[in-house]
Amino acid sequence: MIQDEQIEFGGSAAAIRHHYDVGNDFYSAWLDPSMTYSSAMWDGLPKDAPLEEAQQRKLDYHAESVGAGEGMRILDVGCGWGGMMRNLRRRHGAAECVGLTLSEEQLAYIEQSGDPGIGAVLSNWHDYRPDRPFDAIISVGAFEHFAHPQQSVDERRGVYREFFQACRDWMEGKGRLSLQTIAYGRMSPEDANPFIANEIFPAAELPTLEDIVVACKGLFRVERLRDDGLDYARTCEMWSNRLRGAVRSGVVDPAIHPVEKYSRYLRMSAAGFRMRKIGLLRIAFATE
Amino acid sequence: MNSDLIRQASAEEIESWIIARIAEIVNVAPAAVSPDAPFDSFGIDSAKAISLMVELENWLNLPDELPLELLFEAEAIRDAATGIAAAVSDMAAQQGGVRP
Repeated sequence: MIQDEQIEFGGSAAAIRHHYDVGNDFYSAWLDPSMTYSSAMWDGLPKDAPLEEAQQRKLDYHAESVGAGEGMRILDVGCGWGGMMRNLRRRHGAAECVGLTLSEEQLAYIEQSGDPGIGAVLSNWHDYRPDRPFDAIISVGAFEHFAHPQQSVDERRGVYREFFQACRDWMEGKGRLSLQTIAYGRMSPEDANPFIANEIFPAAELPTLEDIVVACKGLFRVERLRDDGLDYARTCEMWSNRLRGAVRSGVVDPAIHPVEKYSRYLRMSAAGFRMRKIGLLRIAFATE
Repeated sequence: MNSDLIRQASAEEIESWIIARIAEIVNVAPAAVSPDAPFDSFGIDSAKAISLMVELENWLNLPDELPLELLFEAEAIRDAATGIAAAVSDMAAQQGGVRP
């Protein structure tokens, strides 16, 4: 079927809403209290550390990666429900945080937080024009949405390069960027599972590490790089178990919410990470 | 929740079940699936792997999910079956503790 479908830069708004506007209540039933919907981090923690602690570790890791400190103005591209920004304000002394989101439910959630140092903008990164520069940028779990499956490798890398150029410009050529994204590992784009590609994340395409290295060349230097795929496997399994617990205790009603679909998606993702088909990149960039 | 009891299968029974299911998925005779081989050596994709886990959990009548690492991180199917049998036994003990 041929559709007159325009490819949107910086993440398709319709696609983002498809995934994230299932309802804040649904997500809050199985995410940790900080509503962090991305991989936690167990590095430096005991193997059996609870999800909340590992999510906190992840938030602090990115804050440290960009050298977050007193008085800084920090941008969060794809801010979700604002957990990263709240942590930057509370624990790292950031003066002002601005988050970009495409989800109206997430925007509303952040706006009711009541912290004047935290703001959110309903915009994709491509159209965003800040009125003042930022000292640092963090982006967790957004990069996965930037490219489109119908784009060629060169087109995808072109989009990624525009993103890196935009980040550089928003910091006036001086600062750090901390990125966390799922990436293809041993699996190639052609092997992607149609259930995840169509049902869960329509119009999204994952990067490869190579795409990122090529796209940032001359704009950012890679300062440190980790592949923490097993962290994401564990996170997905914990979410799936919590979702099951929420159903059992009656907090989530399978007649209303897509429990079966999410449970399958979370466990399939976990399997993909465990089989190293996909990985979780955490990359700290610095301007050259 | 339902009051159905967990099926306390032995490691050997679980091993046979997994081998039969792998054989079905990759379309070979069960005898061709070695219990000494790791699960990820059969080229089973993540969707089928999860279906297998869900079916196994249903067969065992488990109230909770089995950790995927029991299947994926084990060096051999035999070790996976041993780990799963231990996890099942733990869950049954918990179930026993709260049942009237």
